[in-house]
Amino acid sequence: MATKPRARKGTFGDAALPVAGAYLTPRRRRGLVWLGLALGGALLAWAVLDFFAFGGGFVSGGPLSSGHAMLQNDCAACHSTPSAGDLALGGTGEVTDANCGTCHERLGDELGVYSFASHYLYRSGDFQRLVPSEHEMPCSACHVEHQGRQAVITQVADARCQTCHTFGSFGDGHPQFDVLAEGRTDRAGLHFAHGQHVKEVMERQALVDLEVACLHCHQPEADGRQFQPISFDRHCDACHLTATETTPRMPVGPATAAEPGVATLAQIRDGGAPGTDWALFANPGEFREVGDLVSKSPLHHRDPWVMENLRRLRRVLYPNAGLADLLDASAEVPAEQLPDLYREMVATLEAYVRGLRSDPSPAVQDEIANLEEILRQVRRALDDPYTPLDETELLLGLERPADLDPDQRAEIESLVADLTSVCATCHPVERATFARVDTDLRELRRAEFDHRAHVVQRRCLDCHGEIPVTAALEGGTLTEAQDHSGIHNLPAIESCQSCHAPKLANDSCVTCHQFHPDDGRRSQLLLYLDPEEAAP
Amino acid sequence: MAKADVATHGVRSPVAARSAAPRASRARTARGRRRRAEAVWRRAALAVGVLCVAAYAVGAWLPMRGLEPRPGSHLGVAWGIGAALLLLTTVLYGARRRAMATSSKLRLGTSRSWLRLHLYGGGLFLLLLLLHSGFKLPAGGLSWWLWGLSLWVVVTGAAGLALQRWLPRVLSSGLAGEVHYDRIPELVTQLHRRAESLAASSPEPVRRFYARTLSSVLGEPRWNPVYFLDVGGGARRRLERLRRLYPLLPPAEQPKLTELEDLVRTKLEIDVQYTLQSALRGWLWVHVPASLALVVLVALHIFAVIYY
Repeated sequence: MATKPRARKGTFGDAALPVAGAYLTPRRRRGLVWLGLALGGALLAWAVLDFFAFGGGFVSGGPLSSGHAMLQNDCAACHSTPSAGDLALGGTGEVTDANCGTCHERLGDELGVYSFASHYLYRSGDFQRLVPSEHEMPCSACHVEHQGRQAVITQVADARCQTCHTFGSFGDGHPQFDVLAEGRTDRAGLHFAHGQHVKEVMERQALVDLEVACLHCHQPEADGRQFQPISFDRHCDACHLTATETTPRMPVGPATAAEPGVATLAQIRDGGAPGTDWALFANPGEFREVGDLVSKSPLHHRDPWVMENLRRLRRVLYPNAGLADLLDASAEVPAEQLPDLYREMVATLEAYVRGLRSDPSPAVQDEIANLEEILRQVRRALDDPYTPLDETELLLGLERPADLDPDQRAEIESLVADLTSVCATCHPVERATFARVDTDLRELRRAEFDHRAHVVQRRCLDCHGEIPVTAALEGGTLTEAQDHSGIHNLPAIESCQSCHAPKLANDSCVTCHQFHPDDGRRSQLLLYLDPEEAAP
Repeated sequence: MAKADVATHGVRSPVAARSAAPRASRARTARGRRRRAEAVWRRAALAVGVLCVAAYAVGAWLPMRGLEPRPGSHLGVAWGIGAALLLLTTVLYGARRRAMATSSKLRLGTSRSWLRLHLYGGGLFLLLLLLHSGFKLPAGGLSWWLWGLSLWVVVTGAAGLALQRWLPRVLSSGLAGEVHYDRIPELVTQLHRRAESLAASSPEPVRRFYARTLSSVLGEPRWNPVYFLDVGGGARRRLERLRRLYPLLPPAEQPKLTELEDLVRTKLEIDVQYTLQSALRGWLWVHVPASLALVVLVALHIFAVIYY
């Protein structure tokens, strides 16, 4: 239709219709408002009905994960219900740790499996780590719910870890492994040369593949993640401590500063001291006494006669050894192995109790009762991995030597050297004490390394190449610096990062680390139940 | 000048030629002021939007507690509060329109300012909503309703804005004049009455044609979507059929046919007005109720968040 001008005021169109014949009251549009309020009101009514009749799923932020699915319509199971007063003061129905703990562990257990305190310890056993962080957050901050039934709420994003840890993912600024960054030596506690041993194993077993020789001693655990501890009986006994091994001839005598000597089997039997039951079953034929001298052949691993005489001589050198006297080896262990020390002491004391039980005197029986009470308490404490243990007393004992004449000390130390001369081939002896062998082999204790997942793509020596074993096999001679037990033989972090990096293999924190690392404790949740609740 | 004025303002009286020049100058000044104000609003909204997105990006990039891109983090809650406040402000625009006198008395700003706040606030509301949800689809009944209604309100608002920009231009430039929507039934009744009377006094061919073809067309306002595409809407074709009657009529009767032709042309223009103005007003029915329902649900959401 063509636009055209119109000259007549107040008319419309060619028909000149009067457009303002009467005053027009504009229509109100309340219908818009009422319709909107009706729609909103209907939804509100549904929400209220849903809350009271169906558990409030409508206002829920979405489906809970599979593990919490049974709580979908029970908001109060997780969310606190604030009172009107709390709401007025800004309180909210947040998901508190206590609510999580209702199922996951009992309240009041500060060092519980799922707590931050547990994370600080993270297998280290180092209670100095127990310093609360200002960044501590509730469970729900990391484990975000209402993300759908298929959501895995244990897959925590790196950002959650980074609220405390300053570096990014594994491929983004992760620091070098502690043992390498600090240049720590391996606390193997053993004189051991890999090159020589690999060569021996390959020759004796007629092996061609070097890495099969590795597996001769490093035998994987059932799940293939880690390796079983090295054991003398399984791995060393075939070659070491053969029947021809013998101690030097040593003077027989009371273990005193004035007259240092070793006790014969007969003297030990007659003495009947606690912990010497073994003497009743030992073979006298293994001892050769010539005059005032005695020697023993063959020698056994952890030979009780050697250990008993070493303990006697140590008591002369270190009369204040105290608890360290209950140990067979040094107390210098990493913090996470302290419970093992205590268990060893408990075993020694139990042997003492067994040895004393046949003594009818009331004083001895009273002492046994006291000892048994102490052992019960210690055992109970050891059952809880979060009980702080202290090795100070164990270590200080050997820091307080007896005030001996230098000649006497030298004579006793010479006797100790003779007594342990065969053992010392492999086991360093210091302060009349064997170094403790670290059979665990694990250094990266706070990471969940899985050998099985890696051997498909990498050979042993692709990563563990610090000790040049191949060179030894090819006729080279490894120096002490190249091949000793103090070498970790671990790859640097850059080796791992060549695969685990952004856009390559997974490099998120939870790939290797667990926030709640102590899997074993999770199956013991029933320990936290109240006795009344646990009762059938 | 008078022609231009009539083309622009329809039935409004032509402007007196003697005052045209100063008025044009004032109009240009006012237009310039409006453009500058519009630019300020646009830049301000853009700046706020960019700042919000930058803050979101920083939060997503930096591993700082409280800045994570999720609804429950401190930053996420801030986005939520911002979005709720913007929603409230944009809804108040409707209330302000219904209380002009009070608003004017309290000096609460001009209508234009409120409209800009409504438009730019609505856009920012959608942005903050997306930031609040971390650009993820919602989960849960209430969240879906909130998300869906928010999207619906913003999309219908944008559609309304487009209609408001487009249809008035069509109405003012493509038609001879404009008519108040509420008066259309009254005008159609007048027109129909005149046409009936005219047809009754016309010769037989005109009466028959009127009864068969025009009576139903002129009887009531007709909504026809074709007017969105062509404001002519086939009027020429219809009038052509009417003109074919001229040779059948004696010269003395032809003016009646001409008058009837004017009535039909006017009716068709009224239909165009009716159709286009229906759209201008009807879109509010898909926008306003949803907005109010959204406000109710946001209140419920806030209560649920505080309570839980």
